[in-house]
Amino acid sequence: MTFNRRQFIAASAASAGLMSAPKLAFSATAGTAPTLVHVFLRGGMDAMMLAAPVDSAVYRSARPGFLRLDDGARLDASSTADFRMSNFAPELLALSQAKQMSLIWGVGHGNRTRSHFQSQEIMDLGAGTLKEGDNTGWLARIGTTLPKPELRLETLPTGGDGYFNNVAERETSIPTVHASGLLPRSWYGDGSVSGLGDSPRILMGHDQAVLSDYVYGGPEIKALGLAMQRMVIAKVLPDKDIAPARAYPGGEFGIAMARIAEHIKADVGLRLASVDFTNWDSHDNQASLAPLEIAQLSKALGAFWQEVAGASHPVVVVVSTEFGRRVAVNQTFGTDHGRGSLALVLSQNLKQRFFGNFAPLAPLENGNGDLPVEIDYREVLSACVAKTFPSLAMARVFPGLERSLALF
Amino acid sequence: MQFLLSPSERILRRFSYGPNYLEIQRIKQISLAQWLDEQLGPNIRRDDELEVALASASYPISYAAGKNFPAVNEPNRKFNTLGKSAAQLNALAHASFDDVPVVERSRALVELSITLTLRRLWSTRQVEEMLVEFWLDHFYVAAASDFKLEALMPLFERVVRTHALGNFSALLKEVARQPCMLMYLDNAISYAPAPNENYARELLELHTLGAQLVDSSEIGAAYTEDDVKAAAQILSGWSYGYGQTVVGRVDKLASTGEFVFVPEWHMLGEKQILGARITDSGVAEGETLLAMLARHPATAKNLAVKLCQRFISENPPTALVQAVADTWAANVEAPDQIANVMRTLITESVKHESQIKFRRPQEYALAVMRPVRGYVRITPDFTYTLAKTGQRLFSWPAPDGFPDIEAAWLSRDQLNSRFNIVIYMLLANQRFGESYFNPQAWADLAGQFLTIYATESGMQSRFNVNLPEYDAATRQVKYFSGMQDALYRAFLHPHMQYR
Repeated sequence: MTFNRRQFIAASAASAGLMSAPKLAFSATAGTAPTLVHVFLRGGMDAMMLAAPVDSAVYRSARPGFLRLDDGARLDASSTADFRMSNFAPELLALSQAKQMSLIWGVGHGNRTRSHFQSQEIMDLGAGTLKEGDNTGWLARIGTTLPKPELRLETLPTGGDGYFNNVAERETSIPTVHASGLLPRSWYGDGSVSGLGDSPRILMGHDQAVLSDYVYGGPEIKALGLAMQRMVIAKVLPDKDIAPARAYPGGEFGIAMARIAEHIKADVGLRLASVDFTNWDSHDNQASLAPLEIAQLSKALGAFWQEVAGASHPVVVVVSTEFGRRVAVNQTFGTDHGRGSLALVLSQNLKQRFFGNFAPLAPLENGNGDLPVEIDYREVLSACVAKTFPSLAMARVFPGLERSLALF
Repeated sequence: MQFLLSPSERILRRFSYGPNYLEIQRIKQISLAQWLDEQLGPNIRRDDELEVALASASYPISYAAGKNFPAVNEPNRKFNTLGKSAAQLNALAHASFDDVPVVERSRALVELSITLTLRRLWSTRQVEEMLVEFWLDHFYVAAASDFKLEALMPLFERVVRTHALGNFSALLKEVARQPCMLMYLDNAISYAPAPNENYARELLELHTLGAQLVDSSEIGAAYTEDDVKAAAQILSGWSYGYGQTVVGRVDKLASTGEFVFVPEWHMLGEKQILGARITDSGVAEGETLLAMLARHPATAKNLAVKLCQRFISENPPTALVQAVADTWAANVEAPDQIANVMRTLITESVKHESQIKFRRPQEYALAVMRPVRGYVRITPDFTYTLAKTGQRLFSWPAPDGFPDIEAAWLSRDQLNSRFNIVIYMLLANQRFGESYFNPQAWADLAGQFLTIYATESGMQSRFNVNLPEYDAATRQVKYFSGMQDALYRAFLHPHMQYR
C-alpha cells in the first residue's frame, strides 16, 4: 500500500468531514499605520565598541589601543569629550549624520544584577525588577491590543506543490512578527505572533476537528490552543515576490531584517516586529569578534532603513541590549558584565542625534567600573511605543513608568 | 485536560521518551520497585537492541579535496569518532584547516547527535537517557556554534553520562575540568590579575546556586557580585592542554585534551567567598569551591526545582520540590545521590497526576517514533526536519540550555515544524525519496499506537473508529478503512503534546 500526499489529504478530508471553509473574517487592513521594530542585542553589547570618549583618561588607561576607537569618526555628541564611532559602522554614522538615528548613551535597567538571564528577563517583561508585573512580555502587551491576523480563502491553480490540493489561505494582515527563532519572553502572553519561517503548510487543510481538540482542550492547554488557532493559517507572503532592494549582510540578523522590510513594503498591516540578534557576549578576544557583530548590525540596519524610509507609513526601529560591559578589559582582552550600554533609535522624525550624558568617564573603582545607567531602558522603549501606537495607554505596556525620553 | 492512565502508565509517560507496547506490558507485569531498580540500579537491564541500532548506524559524509587531504564521498560511513581518546579528539579540534576538513571535525557532533537520538529511541534505561538530556541542558555547551566544541563534545557527553545517576559533586567537578566547558565559558583562558568571569558567573548562577537576587525587595540572595569575582580568581589557571604557550616557560603545554592547572595564571592570595575564607592553595582552591557549591542548600533547592520542572510541570507543587530537595540534601555524599533523588521524584510524582508537562519538539518526535522505532532511519533529510523544530541538538545559543517552558515553543513556525515531522512520517513524501514507512510499518504503527493510546478516553472519542484487535504476536492490526486518518488525528492530538 502506498499513497501520496494528495490522496492522503483527500482521504482525511472525506473521512472526517473536513475542508469546510473556516469561519474567519476577511478584510484588507493595510494602510498607513506606523510600524515599530525592536532589535534586541542579546548577550550584552559593549557600548564602547560602537562609540566611546577616546580622549578620556580613564578610557585610555583601561583599554589597550587595539580595543579603542581612536581612529573612529568624530561625533559631535559632547562639548567635554571627544566621542567617536567605530569605523565598522559607516551606515550608522551616515544615519546619525542625516538625523535619522539617535544614539542614547547610558541606557540600562535599574536592577543591580549582572546576570544575562535576569537582565534579559527584566527587559523582556518591560519591568523595573523581576518581581514586577503580571509575567507577560512588553511586546505581547502591545500585540494583544492589535487586531488578530485576518485571512481569506482562495483557490490556487491546480497542481501546487503537492501539499495542498488547490486551496490555501493567504494572510492579508500580519500585525505582529517575531523574526528570529524561538519566542522570547517579551512575547509571552500573546499567542498570535507570526514568525518568518519557511515551512508554513501544516495540518493538511483546515482540520477543524483537530483544532477543536485543542481549542476545547481545557484551561491547562489554553496557550497551546491559542497558538494552534493561529497555526491553521497557511502563511504565504502576499501576491508577489518582493526581492530586497538592498544588500543585506549574511547571517540570521540580516535575513530577519530583510524579511521584515518585505512585510513593510508589502503593506500587510505590520505594526510590531521584533528580532533577536545574539552573539554579543564578548568575554575574550573582543577586538576580533565585536567588530564583526557591529558591522552586521550597521550594514543590516542601513540596508533596512534605505528600503523602508520611503514606505507609505512611518517606521521606528529601536535597538537595545540587556547591559553594557565594563570599561576595563580582562586579561583575555574581553570585557565582563557591566551596567549601562547604549540604545539606538531610527526614525524620520527625531529631535536630536544624541541623548544622555556624554561626559568623560569617571574614574573606575576596583580597577574596572561601569558605564552608569542614567536612562531607564523603558524611557526609550516607551517613547517609541508612544510614537507608533499613539492611542495606547502606556500604563498598560510599562506599568509604573513615570516618564519617557523626548525623542520625537 | 487529563490523562486517564493507570499509575504505571503515567510513570512511563513522564519518565520515558514515550511509551511503547512492550514497555507498557513490562511495567504492568512487575512492581514499581522492580522497575525503579531496573531504571536506577542495581538491576540495570541489558540494552541489546540499542547496541544493534548503534552498531549499524551510519551517516553520509563528503567533502572536496584540500591542501593536505583528498576528496571523500562516503554515503554510508559507520560511526567511529565517539570512542576516540581525549588526545585524538583534541588533535581533531585543534588541527590546521589544511590538514583536516571542517566536516571531519563536526562529524563528532553529528555522530553524537544521532547516537543520542538512537539511545532515546531504543534504550531500556529511559530515565538515565532523560537525565543525560537534563544534564546536557543544565551544563549547557553550545557545541554547534564552534567547530572545536563540535570535535570535543563526545568527551563531555561521556562524563555527563558516567555521572548522570551518580553524585552531583563528582559530576560538577568533572564538568569543571572538561575541555568543552573550559573553552565555551572561557575559563581555559582566564588569567591573573584580571581573570575572565564568564565561567565563574554561570557556575554560580546556572550550575549550582541559582539566580542572583540583588534587589533589597528580594530576599534569599545566595551570593553577591563580589562572590562572582572571587570565584573567577579562585578558578583562574584552570585550563586544558591544547599546545598553548605559557609566558615564562620554554615548552608549550602538551596537547592532551586533558585538564591542566597552570600556576602562573592563577591569582595568588587568600580569597573570601560565600562567607568562607579560602587559603592560597592553587588548584585546591577551586576544588574546595566546587565541593562547597555542590553541598550548598541553595544548590539543592535550585536543582530540585529544575528537576521537577523538567519531569513534572512548569510550576511544580511545593511539597514535591521539598521532597526532592530533602533527598538531595540527605545524599550529598552518596555515590548514587542522583538515582536516589530520582527515586523520590518518581515515587512522589504519582500524588500529582493532574500536573502535565509540555513536550519539547524533540520529545514529541520521539514519542511518535518510539512505537515504530525499527523503521526509523536517520537520514540528512530527517535530521533537517528535526532541526526545523527549533531544537537541533546543541544549537541553543546561550549557556542556559534550551528553554523548558511551553510558551517558548509556541511560535507559529516552531509549531509548524513540529507537525511537519508527523506529516513527513505519515506521508512518505518526496523529501525522503522513498517511502519512509512501508506497509508493514503502517500496520505496526497502527497496532502499537492505537493500542497504547486508545485507553485515553479523550483520544478515543476523537478517533471515531472501532479499534481492531491487536495481535501481540505480529504486533499488528489489520488494515482498516480510515486507519491513516485515525493515526493522523492521534498524532496531532493534544495528549501527544504533553506528558
